[in-house]
Amino acid sequence: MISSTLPLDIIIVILSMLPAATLVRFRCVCRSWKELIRDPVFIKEHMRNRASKGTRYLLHVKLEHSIDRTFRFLNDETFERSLEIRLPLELYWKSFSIVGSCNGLLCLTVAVDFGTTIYLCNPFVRTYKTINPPSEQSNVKFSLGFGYYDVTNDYKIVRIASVMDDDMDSTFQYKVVMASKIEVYSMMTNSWKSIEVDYFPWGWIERKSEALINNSIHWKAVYRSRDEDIAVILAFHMGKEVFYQIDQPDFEADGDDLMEHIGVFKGDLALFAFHLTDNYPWHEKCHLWVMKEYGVVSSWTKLYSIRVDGGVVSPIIFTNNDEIIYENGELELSVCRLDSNAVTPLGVDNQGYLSLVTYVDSLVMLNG
Amino acid sequence: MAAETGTPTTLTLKSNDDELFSVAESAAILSVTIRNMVEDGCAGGVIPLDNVDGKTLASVITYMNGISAIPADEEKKKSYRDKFLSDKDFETLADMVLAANYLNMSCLMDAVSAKIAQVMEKKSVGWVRRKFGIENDYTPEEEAAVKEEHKWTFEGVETDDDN
Repeated sequence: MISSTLPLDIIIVILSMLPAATLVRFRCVCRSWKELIRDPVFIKEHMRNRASKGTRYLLHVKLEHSIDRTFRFLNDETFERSLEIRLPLELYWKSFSIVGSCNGLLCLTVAVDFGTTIYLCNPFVRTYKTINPPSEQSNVKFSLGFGYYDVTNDYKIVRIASVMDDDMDSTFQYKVVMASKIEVYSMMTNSWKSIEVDYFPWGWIERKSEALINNSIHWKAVYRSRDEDIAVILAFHMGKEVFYQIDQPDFEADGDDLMEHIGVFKGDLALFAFHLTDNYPWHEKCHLWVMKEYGVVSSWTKLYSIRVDGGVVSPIIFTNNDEIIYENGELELSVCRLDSNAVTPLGVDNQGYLSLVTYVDSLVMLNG
Repeated sequence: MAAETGTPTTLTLKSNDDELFSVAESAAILSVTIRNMVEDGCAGGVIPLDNVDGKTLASVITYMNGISAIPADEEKKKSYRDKFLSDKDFETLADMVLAANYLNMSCLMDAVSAKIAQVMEKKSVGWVRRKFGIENDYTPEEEAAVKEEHKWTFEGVETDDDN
């Protein structure tokens, strides 16, 4: 027998190291454990623990054209399948797109209804809720972002509506007029509100943000002045609820026809300049730029240059082990080591449409 | 202090059941509690550790000696800790986490807590109640209702009869 019963503070330390699913089961132990496990302070502590010491996964969801409706979690180092979790029944027949993943919460939107039907879901505790944006708008294109603001322990979704102009310009592209409406959802208040901005010179905003860092959500976008359009990174600070812009690194010298992908590489804002498969100049390289000091444009550093045979259809995610996972010209998922340029298949079939996000299990939204 | 005099200093620790242990000061000061006593000059004679029994203290000293013999290599320290804890049962681990907490040894505290969490992960609710000495204060109806809310978390749980 234990010579003395463990005091509550030690029990809390131990429990905060357990997987979310185990804690959900241990709500049955007694009333005080149930209260502890739903306590926001404990949930936050558990989340921090899991994020730093717990298991990280790459989440692989087969989307459209698939009857395999499960979240598949891959070990983030070996890429072996670690576990599978069924989708909540209510989401089963929907084809959705992952807007973002943060502290165990996923923000999903129905693919055909991008930005109109939005869900928050915690697959590890199998809870989800529908977040209905307040306004219906037609002839608009939505961009979404999802993130966590640590100061207030709140989760926010940002929706930017850009009006599509029916007229085509001389290059036969639809003109996108400036964003017409910006709305922010807060999980804490469980409500949407409109954000008033006097000046919003950005257009062509990426549909969903791939980069959550420094309490800000980032999208690839274009700064539109009267004379020219400049490719930039648009950022939204979740505390101040303001937009600002970060200049991209000057990668013009890296070659022609480079596309950019915005992401987070080992905790820093990163830009991957790559060649699309279609117009791939075989002799040229792709480059990873990292902003060493957040917000300081002069700190953009070209960290790696790699050659990707066959080009890239879409970069998907950077791993913590100096790798990039991308979809190649054969529409297969590949992993490229950025230091050695070694390319290996991910070993996961890329059927239909796919999202890979890093994911840590948590108790967030256990209480709905 | 050992580093100043050039000769290794030995401390004598006394458990709450009056067992005496000799340990090199350089290993013992992994415990912030003991280090503070040494720095305050209270370590001249025997250091009484009122919250730790002899069996647990012997184990903690084995750990102190083992880990301090490893040079600054976090990988090797981690594998030593894993091996050190691998054959300990729940009761021993519980005693050790209490001792580590009292002695203020954060590296041992973290390792033992993580080990206990690992042991608990697949255990049943009944096992946890017995091992932690917790009384079930739910009515059967309430417990059934709490269980029903997240029934799936009871899949793959170890059976209850593994002591």
